Amino acid sequence: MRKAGVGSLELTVLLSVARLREDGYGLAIRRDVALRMGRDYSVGAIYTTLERLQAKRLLTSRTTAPTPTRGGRARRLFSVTAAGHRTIHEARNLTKAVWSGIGRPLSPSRA
Amino acid sequence: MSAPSVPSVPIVERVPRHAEALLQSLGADRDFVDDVLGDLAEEYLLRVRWDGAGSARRWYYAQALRTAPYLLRDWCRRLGPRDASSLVVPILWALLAGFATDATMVALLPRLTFFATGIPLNAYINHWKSTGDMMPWVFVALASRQTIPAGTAGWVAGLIGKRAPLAHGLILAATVFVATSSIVASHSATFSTFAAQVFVNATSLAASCLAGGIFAALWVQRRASREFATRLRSASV
Repeated sequence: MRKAGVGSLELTVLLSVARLREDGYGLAIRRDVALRMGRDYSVGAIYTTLERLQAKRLLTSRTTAPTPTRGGRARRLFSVTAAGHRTIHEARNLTKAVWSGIGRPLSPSRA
Repeated sequence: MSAPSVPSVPIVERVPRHAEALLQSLGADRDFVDDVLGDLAEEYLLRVRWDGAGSARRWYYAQALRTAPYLLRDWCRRLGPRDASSLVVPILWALLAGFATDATMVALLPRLTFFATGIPLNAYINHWKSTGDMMPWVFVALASRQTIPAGTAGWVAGLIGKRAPLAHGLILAATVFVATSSIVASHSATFSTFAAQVFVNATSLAASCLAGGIFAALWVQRRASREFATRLRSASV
C-alpha cells in the first residue's frame, strides 16, 4: 500500500483528533490546533484538512444526532484509523531522527 | 481537551442569516457546508455569551469571509460535465442580453456614434469624452451591458439547477468581464489609458457581483429558513 504523506497542518490536525479521542469534531479540533499552534485557522481550513485526511484514509467519521445548538445540524466526530496511527508514529520517529545529536538549545557559533 | 459545553438554546433566529446564506450559495458539498455552518453556529452561541452579540456577529462575518474561498474551491473541485454544460446556455443568453442592451441604449441615445467606432462600448466612452455630460449613462451602460446580464444569467441557471447560484453568477460575470475587457483593450479608440478602462470595468463588475450576491443570498435565506424549521422539528422529535 502506498504511504500517505502528510503536511504540517495535516499532522497537527491528525494529532488533535488523536488527542481528543471521542470528542474530535470540528470546533474542538480547531480550538486545540489554535491553542497549540498559536494561530486561529478558519473553519474552512480545518474542514478542508479533515476532508483531505479522510481521503487519505487516515481518519474516519461518524455523525451524531442533530442538535438545536447547531441549527438542527449533526456533529461529525472524527477518529484516527490504524493507518493514521502508523503515520503519527512515523512522523514522530522522523522528527526524532532529525533532532538526534542536538542535546541542548543551539547558540550561534562565534568566529 | 474536552468538547466545549454549549447552551441548549435554539439559534434559528440568532445566527447572521445573510452570511450563512452566502456560504450556502457557494455550492460546496452539502455535508461539508453543514459541518462548517454547524461549527460556526455553535461557536457563535458561545461568543454571544462571552463577548456579546455585536462582537459575536463580527466574528461570524469574518469567519464567513475566511471560509468562503474553501467552499468555492470545493465546488470548483467537484465541477462536473453537468455543471459545465449548464453554463453554455446562460453564456449565450448573457451575450444576447448584452446586444439587446446595446440596441436599447442606441435607441435611447441617438447621438451616440454607435457605428463609427465599431464596438458599442467605445461609443459610450467616446461620446462621454466628447460631451462630458453622459457620465451616469456611461456607467449604466457598462454595468448593464457586460456583467449584470452575465451574472444574473449564471445566478438564474444556478437557481434552476439548484446548484450554487452565487458561484455560477460570479463565474459567468467574471468570464464575460474578461472577454469584454480583452476586446475593448485590443481596440485603440477605446480609452486614453488602459488603467481608466480597468477602473470602469472593475466598477461595473463589483456592482454586478454585489447585486447578484444580495439577490442570491436573499433567495437562499428564504429556502434555508424552511429547511431550518424542518430540521429543528425533526431534531426535537
